Amino acid sequence: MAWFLPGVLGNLFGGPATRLYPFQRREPFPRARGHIELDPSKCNLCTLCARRCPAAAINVDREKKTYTFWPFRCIICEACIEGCARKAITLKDQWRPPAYAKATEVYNIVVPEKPTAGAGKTE
Amino acid sequence: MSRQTVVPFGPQHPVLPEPVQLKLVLEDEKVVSVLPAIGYCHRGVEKAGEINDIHQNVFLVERICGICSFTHALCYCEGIERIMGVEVPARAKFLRVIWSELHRVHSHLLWLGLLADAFGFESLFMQIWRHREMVMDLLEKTSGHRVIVSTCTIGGVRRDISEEHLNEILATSKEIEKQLDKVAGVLAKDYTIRKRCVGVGVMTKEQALALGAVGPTARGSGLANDARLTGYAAYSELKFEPVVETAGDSYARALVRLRETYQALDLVRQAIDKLPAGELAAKVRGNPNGEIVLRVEQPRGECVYYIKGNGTKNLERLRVRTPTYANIPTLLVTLPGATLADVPIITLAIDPCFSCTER
Repeated sequence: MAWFLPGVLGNLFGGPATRLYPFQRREPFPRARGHIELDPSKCNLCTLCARRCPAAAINVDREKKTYTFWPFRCIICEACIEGCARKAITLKDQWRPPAYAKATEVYNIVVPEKPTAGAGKTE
Repeated sequence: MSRQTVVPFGPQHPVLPEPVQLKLVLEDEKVVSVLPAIGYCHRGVEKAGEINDIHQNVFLVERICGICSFTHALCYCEGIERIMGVEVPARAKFLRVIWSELHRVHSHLLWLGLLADAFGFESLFMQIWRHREMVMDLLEKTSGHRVIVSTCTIGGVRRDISEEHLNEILATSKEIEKQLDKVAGVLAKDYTIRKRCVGVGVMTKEQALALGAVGPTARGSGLANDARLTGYAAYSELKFEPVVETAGDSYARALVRLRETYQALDLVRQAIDKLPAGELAAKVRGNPNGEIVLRVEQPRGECVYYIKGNGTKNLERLRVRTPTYANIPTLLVTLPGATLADVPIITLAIDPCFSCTER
């Protein structure tokens, strides 16, 4: 009799199985797929990332020298990171928070004549 | 002469994990016949597979289903590799086995929880899904994502599993087995579970063979079919037997899935034991030219892929036949004669995954 007592006592004094989110958050694991970021100073408009993207989240315009990224289309598959020869795109482990509107990120790329030119970013 | 009513066990139902409509023809409480209707989840994946190029298709195909996602990618990549004659490094084959079996563990744990939820045993449902979280954390640590792991690529795998993570997988598998023993105890001894599952939805071995049932649905009726025995990825070097029960009812299928979870954890341990050092992926150049039919054992059964390439970077045809598609006809045999209250249990016993079925 009272075969259920170990289970009941275990549940009573065991503590909750869940975290009190959003007050207690877990740190993301290393190399978790959070979001993608571009470093515009390293980009040379080769368009390899746009061709590889399965979700069509990147558009590179060589005439206007812009790099457009739609973060809400991105599926964080890292195909662009594998394609980029300059390592201009990096993976960050913090996921993007929800937003009220879908964003578009546009970067103006200045392809350097000398190795140390910079680039601007507009949103 | 009792009257017959048609009740739609509709696409939206709290018990169904995914949408299907079963028009149940009832006489007073017993089901006389059933008309399944699918199509609520169709996304045109096969057409999209012809528009994307072959490398982008890996990401498309692994999103056909969230629960068996890696095995879809594995089947696709293995098919393209066989057409093009690419030799996958040995380490990649074993890593693919590890991820496939981890998917099998989390899929069967999900199903056991849903079975408990189907007859209202919510505390068991929550406990089982709590143990499943250990597997999801393992998937996230080794690949970055919890559900769609995106680690399979044509030629091998994209990420390595470090020594530290391998040790963590071994420790977690022991922990899961310990917790599963308690769950197995409940499934074996609980009077209510046995009353609701034993003898419900019986399908004989001849019926299973004639209808073309696959996976645990067929193995619960005594058919020892397992597509892993064909030896894709590294399965030819691992030792295992198909898990078979002979009773043919929903309880037998639940037992098959429970024992397969233990078997999957054992396969993970065997694979980690034999994991060789080496490269992760072979270089792939060129385009596939030819066709292939490939079978893979997903958690729900045997999945068949037909891939046809014509030498360009787009495929000419990608055809997917998923296991639930083959298991739906078994409902025509198991549902008639059951009472209305048994319908959720029998439908769940085939482990329906309609996002797979309708692609």
